[in-house]
This record gives sequence, structure tokens and C-alpha cells, in this order.
Amino acid sequence: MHAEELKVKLRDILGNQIEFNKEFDKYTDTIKNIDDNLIEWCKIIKEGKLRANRAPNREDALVFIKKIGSSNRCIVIKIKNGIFTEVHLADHAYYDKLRKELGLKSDSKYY
Amino acid sequence: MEKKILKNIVENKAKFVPLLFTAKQVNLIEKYLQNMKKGKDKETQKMTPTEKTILYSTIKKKVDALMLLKEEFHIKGQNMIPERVEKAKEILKAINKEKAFISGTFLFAQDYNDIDIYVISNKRKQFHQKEETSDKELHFIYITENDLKKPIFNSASQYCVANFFIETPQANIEKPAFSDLVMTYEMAVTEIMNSEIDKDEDQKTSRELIFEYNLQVKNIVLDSYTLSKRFNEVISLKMNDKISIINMMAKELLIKLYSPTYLYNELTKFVKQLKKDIEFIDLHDHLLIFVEVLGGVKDACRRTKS
Repeated sequence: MHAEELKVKLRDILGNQIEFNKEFDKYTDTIKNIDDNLIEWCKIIKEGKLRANRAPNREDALVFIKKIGSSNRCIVIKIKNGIFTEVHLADHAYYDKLRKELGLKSDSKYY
Repeated sequence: MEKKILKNIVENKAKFVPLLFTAKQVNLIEKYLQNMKKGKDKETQKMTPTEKTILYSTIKKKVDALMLLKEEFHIKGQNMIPERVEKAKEILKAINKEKAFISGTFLFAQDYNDIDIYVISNKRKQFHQKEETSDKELHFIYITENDLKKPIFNSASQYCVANFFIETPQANIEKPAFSDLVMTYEMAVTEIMNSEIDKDEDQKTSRELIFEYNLQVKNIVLDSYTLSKRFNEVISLKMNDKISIINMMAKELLIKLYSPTYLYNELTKFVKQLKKDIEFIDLHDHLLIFVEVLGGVKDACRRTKS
């Protein structure tokens, strides 16, 4: 599925207001079977069946994380008691950076 | 360039000159080694730009070729898959680095995601590279020698195939920040509960908590094989049993790491926020667990204080 087509489907599920990260298109094209995986998962979070992580650095936000293979990740951000706002799809480095921004990962003492 | 090989060339000059190196080239290697020494003599002459050009073009190429002949491997740990050990050796030969080792699930698990290759270097960096013969990825992690004291690399170096003898140093154990520890705990429980619905959820945050628990409470740096074994034992349990173990680890970690007064103050704020969040989050059964567990620790701290 083409990135634009996938975005339309995700907007249908999560709402037109959602924004995608810059790299979304690139990763949609490179990750195998990303469309089915992601669409099903977004449907489940929209139905409220998955528990969200609270984001210490963004008190208004709830974060859903989907692991795709060993190095790619999708993060969906929702406002508490409100709408879905962001969909991020990228590699592990981007995911780590975003998690740090959200307060879900410490500045690692290990590395 | 690998110092050990360079030293061998200088020490066995007669065997290498004139067939493999010229006398001038060996002298240059000697000068290079003197320049590399820490606290070198004042008399040591710096290398000229021309000498550096010769060193990094002609000499380096010859030394790199000689390194390919080096067949010295050190294996640490048990229960490795023999074919994977052979593959690890092949990879180490192919990447041709002075000091490198391979660790992680690749060595012992039938299913693995990528191959973790650690390279000892002056600079830190990491990147993924597609493996030519499979759909797996090579994960290169460049670390300094000193990084082997960090628990995560210390763990990797205790179970590995290496092209050098690794004397695993004593790990530096640091106390994690309260907020980081609680965040790891929250994520671990959330992942466990979500895994009942999302079958792709690998619950890997529990592994971080198991590692931290053994490190801080038991004072043991689990090697990657033992950690994986413990993690698999936990995640193979039923959901409530998994959560009970994670709760117990979180409680023990908090009590071991922080003073009752500090814990009481932090947990009072934290539990208050959790209760506020419960009002705004529809699916909040995981938050109720946190309130119960962390509230319990808070109450225990209050009793200890008084």
C-alpha cells in the first residue's frame, strides 16, 4: 500500500486531525506488510482495548507503542480524554529520541 | 591498526624484511608505535605527513591483509548453538576489527531478530546493516573499552564470541532515578496486560526490570543468556503471575534503593497523579494496579518513618 493510501485509512480510523512524522512515507515503503499490521492495531486502540502509557514529559498525552520487527516502531499519541493527535513511524533511533522527549526513556546511563 | 600485529612485525623484523615489508616500512611502524605510547619520551619524533601517507596507504593495507590470517577466538558462556558460533567467527573475520565480539540471542536462541556486534573503539556509534545472506540485520555497536564497566555491555561481554581475550571488568552499578524506575515498571505491566490483546507485543520492558532487579537487589550482572532465560521463564507464566513477579521486583527495588522519607514524598505525589489520571482514562485497570502497589510501598514507608 502506498503511504498516502495508508494515511487516508489511518485518518478514517483515528480522525482527520492526526499528523504524521516526516519519515512516515519512507518507512511505509520499506517495512513489509506494514499496512495490515498498522491498520489492525490502530483499530484496536481506537476501540479502547489497549492500555496507554502515560508520558511524564507531556502530562496531557497518552502513548501507544507498536513494535514492528527488531528495529522499527510506531507511536500513536492521544490527548487524555480526547482525540488522537500524532502517528510516528520510524526506526529505533527515532523511537528512542521520541521516547526521551516524552519522558518514557531516560538519558541512558548505559550508553 | 592492531597494535599486537604491529608489535609482532617489529619484534620479528628479520622474518618480514624484505619479503613482506621493506626495512623503511618497519622503521615507520616502530615510530608509529612509539608515537602511540601514552607518556611518550620527549625524544620521540612526530611522524611527518609523508610518513603518515605511507603508513595509512601501503603499510595499513598489508597489515589489514595479515589480520585476515588471525584465527584467534575466545568463547565465553555455555549452551551456544555450534553453527551460530561458527557464523559469529566468520562475521568477526569478515569485519576485520582489532577488538570485537558478538553477543545476544543470536548465539543461543533459534529465533533471533538481529546480530549484535560490539566493536571496541575510541568513538561510540551504532548502526544497522543488512546481512547479505539472510533477511536479518547486523547491529553494530561501537563502544569504548571503558564502556565494558557499564552493566549492559558488561552483561554482553560475559556471554560472547570474541576475537580477543575479554577481561570483563567489575561493573559500575549506578542507582536509577526514581522516575525512570517507576516508568520502567509502569511500561512492563502495561505491556504484559496489552499482550493479551496484541499478540505482537514482546513484553521486553519486563526484561529491563528483571535485569535491574538482579543488578540492584541481588548485586548480579546477569549475562545475556541467563537474562534471556529468566525473562522467558517470567513471560511464559499466566498474566496475573507475571504481574505479581513484576510488582514484587518493583517493590523490592524501590525499598532497596531509596530512603523511606524520599520514597514517601515521591510516592505521595505520584499516587495522587495516578488517581487524577484514572478519572480521565477509560481503560485504567493497569493504573489501579500501580495505585495498589505503589500506595502499599508508600504506606510501608510511612510506618517505617513513624
